[in-house]
Amino acid sequence: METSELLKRRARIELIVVLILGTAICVYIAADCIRYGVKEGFDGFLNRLGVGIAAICTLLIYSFLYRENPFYRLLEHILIGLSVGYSTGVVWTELLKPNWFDKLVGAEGRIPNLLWLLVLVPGVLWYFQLSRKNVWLSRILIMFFMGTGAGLGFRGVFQNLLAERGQITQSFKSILTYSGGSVSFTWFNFDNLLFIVIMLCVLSYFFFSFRHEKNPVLRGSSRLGRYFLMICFGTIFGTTVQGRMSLFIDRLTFLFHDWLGL
Amino acid sequence: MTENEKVPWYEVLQRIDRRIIYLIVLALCSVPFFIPIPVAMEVSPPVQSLFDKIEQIAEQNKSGKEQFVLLAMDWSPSVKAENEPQTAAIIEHMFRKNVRFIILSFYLPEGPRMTETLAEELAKKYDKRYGVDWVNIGYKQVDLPAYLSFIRDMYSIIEKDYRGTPIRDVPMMKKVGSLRDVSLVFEATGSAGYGIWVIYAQPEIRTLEVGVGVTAIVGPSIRPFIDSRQIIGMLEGLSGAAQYEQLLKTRGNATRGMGSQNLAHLWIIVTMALGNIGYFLSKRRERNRKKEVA
Repeated sequence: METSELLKRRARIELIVVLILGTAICVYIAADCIRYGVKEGFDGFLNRLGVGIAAICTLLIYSFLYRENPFYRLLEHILIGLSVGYSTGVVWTELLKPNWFDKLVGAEGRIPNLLWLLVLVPGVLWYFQLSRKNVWLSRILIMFFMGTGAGLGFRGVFQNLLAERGQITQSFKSILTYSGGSVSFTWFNFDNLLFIVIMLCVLSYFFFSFRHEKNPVLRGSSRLGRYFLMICFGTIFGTTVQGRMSLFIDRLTFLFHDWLGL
Repeated sequence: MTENEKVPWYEVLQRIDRRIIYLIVLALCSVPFFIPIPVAMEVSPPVQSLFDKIEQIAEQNKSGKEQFVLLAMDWSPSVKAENEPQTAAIIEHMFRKNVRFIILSFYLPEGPRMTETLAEELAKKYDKRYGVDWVNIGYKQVDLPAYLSFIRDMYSIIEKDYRGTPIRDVPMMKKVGSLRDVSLVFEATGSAGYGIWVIYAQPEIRTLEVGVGVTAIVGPSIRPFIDSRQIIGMLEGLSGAAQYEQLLKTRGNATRGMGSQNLAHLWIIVTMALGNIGYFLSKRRERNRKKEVA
């Protein structure tokens, strides 16, 4: 059989499967909504309708695993649109309205304060990014934000690394144990030694001031460093797979428990 | 290879249709929903440490000045699968031990809303009341200077709770003078939200401990903070939540999900092994062919 004929045949089978599955799902959702509507009233009906729509969305998104298809594309666009709309709403309700607009117009019994209009001036400066001629105006704001950010950031970095509970202060631990005038080497010390060795090896991998091939010590340590990094990336990849599986299991829980009631 | 030549079995291993692999993942993950699979887990030290901290707060509250827990709920539906069971386990523990808590988020508005639903569900089981046993401040959009103000005086940026009640009128908050009355911050997140507590709050308030519930992906980046004791404990992904449920002796969504998780992991290991066997044998065959030609 020719390839084009095979493809046509496959498309026909796919269409039949989609029609059968789609009809079955729609019938199930309708029956479910009516059942809950009778039992719990209109709220129950709406609640089950919401669950049904969520189930359809889940299935359509996962249909991508079979093949790229228009249903998946539609859901992808809906998701992006919803996210943008939701974020815009959040910026207004959680940030602009309570922190600026309500103070400006005097909502909730406050006295209107028109001075809040002044904050629009620096706010508008950002948009000069779009003008080649007046872009320097936006740089005033960038300068301000960079300065504040750097100042607070440096403070944070020093506190995080060098303060009493800082990471460097706390991470560098003794590689020998002194107790009662004697010196010993325990598993705890071995851990600390391992930490230092791995850290130095990984750092040496990124040390480009000398040619690694010409220096046997640097060559060996950087190679070891590369292996340690690969172990680290492997761990991160493993946990990523674990995370993705958790998301999938959550969706299965939703489909089996919440939707199908199994 | 000619068209009629039979494809060796090890080359087939590298050409398995990905849809077959997905179908097997689906089948394996579905099995525990119908046949419960008991999963024995060893509780990791970071989980135990977090559990012990809440036990310690409960003990201290019996004798001394009451200490509270702050739940920084920086999670959204996209990471619900992992952060929700973690949060549920922590709230259940606090309700059991009568440790009172405050919910808020500086990053995501969805986190406090979803946590509120969890708290209300669990409150029925333990006969707890909003405003008395927990308070939800909700989402506060803050930048770094505002956050620093919050550390010095938490009421400087918080006027009302999530329900619109003036914060000073909420009964529980009358006992919370400042962030110094908070003994533990539990940050549930799928990103790096824990950073601000470790970097800015801890150096200011030395008694403040930070615990985290993070997605499995974020887990490895927390390890250095645990080694340096900047973060006291961690629930890492679904397994972290399941371990906490084990300590609480309950069987929640995390424990139920671990059966599916384990089967899926086994299948991934099998596919990795099969892929590698196929790869190395194909390579060896190629090498032998080249030798024959030479």
